[in-house]
Amino acid sequence: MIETDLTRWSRVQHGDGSVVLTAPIQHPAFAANRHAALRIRHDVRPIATLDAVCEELQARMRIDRCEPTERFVTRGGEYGAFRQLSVTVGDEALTWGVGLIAGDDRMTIVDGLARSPNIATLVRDVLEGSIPAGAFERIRMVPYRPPAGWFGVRRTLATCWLAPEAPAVIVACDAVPRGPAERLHALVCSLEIPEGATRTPFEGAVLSGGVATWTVDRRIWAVVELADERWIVRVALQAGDDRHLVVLRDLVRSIELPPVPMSDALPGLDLGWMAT
Amino acid sequence: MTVWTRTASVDGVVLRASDSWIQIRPRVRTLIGARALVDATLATLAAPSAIVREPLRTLITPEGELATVGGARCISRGRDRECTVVIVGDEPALCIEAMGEPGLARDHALALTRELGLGLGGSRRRWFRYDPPAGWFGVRRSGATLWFHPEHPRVPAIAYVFDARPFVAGDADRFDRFVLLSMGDDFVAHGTSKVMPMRTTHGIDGRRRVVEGNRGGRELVRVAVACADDQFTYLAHFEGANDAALIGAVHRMTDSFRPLPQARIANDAFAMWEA
Repeated sequence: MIETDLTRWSRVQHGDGSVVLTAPIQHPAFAANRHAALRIRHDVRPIATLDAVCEELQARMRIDRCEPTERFVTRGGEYGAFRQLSVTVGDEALTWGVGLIAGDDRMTIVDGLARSPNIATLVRDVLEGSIPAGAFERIRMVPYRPPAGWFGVRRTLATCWLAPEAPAVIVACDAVPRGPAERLHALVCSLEIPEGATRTPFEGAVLSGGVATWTVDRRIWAVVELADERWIVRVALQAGDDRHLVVLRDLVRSIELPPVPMSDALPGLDLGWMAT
Repeated sequence: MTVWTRTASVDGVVLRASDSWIQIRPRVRTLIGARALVDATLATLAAPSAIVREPLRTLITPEGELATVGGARCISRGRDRECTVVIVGDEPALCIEAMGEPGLARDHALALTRELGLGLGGSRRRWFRYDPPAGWFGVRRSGATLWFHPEHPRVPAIAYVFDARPFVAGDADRFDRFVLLSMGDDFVAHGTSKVMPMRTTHGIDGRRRVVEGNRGGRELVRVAVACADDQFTYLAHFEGANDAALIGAVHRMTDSFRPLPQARIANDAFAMWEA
């Protein structure tokens, strides 16, 4: 277990908003190896994959070994990804831990570099327990398995998936908490179902709901609406033929609901933050 | 009854009627305040023919979000028109722009403000209202606004006003306070700090801590303010020359902190589910 209390680490804030923390010389996890640094960047936009983040950051490093990406949920209920790498900088073999927490259109990136592999554990612990989360009950993206080979484009409050070989598009709307925000969502992500549409229950999804299908000018339209007492999720398809209905069904069945925060938040007013 | 057509835009939706339009953009990012954003948007919409500008107003939405409303009368295609801009929330903000007949555009925009939710939840870090020191220069940073003295750096004086934080102190908040709120550690304090209870003119209780010290051979003073209501903590700190006028300006600013409104969702926002 690595001590995640960073109050004795020296701290430099850079102009781009990133904060770089350097371990104190006496730190039990890093003292024998002399040096450890942690970099935290809040509010990085646009969101990107961990691959892209690593590629951007690794300019002066040679990657010797890369552990598989680990996905996790923070105690605040946000989705994160983490990776540990062995790298060489100059002639020195180091451990590099890189992770991110993805918000809906911004992310927090934490990476740490040290001789000791403890830095990877520290990065992982900081990401999981110490990064502030957004409000749980906001309009937010939810995880699902996109169709293989389809191309994703982020739109306002939704993600559009375009088929590679045929004119077909799936619009996966963000999950909306029940309440006033749903009106905004319905206005922006307009999915009106005509009266003559065929409506059937949708089976096998994490929420209960139904699917409405209809045809306009030989093009298939389908809208899946799922809901429980907290969330509403809508996914729509427009395609040239009905084989894409299977793709839609698979995507909807892979949808997961946002995780519940597990913060140990305690009420209290603490003036100790003023370091003098 | 007005028939509106709806068109998706890059960042939202546009509603059009015979001689009116409304644009709704739900995720507008801005580094300037809501009032400045309303002013800038109105200037674009109504220019160059604005004939009357209404004073800006502040509303509270049923979600408990602060909204800034501005309006102007202008001449468009030879006709007398009204344009109204509403900014709801902060990062990101919901932006509603309406153009139409005098009286109607404003009504449409205000009705949408009441009906639409921002969908960001109430328990997030949020901007709040206060009166910054006159003439100081504001710079928006992640989670805070920095106010520089007009003659900075000749006059060393920077005030940090942090976004209001939900009234909790879990691991995440403690860590965030350390990373983003704690002051630089090369300040050598002369003795202990003085802690005084305070109450803002709008009724938020808290404490103010003042300590004198030295940084890099320069005599400075630090002021830290932490006050709270039953929802949020409101935090600010200042480091600058030990000058009574500067410290007085900072005290006036922190005394002007206004509490964030509470959501009124229970009153009407769930009405659509009760049918």
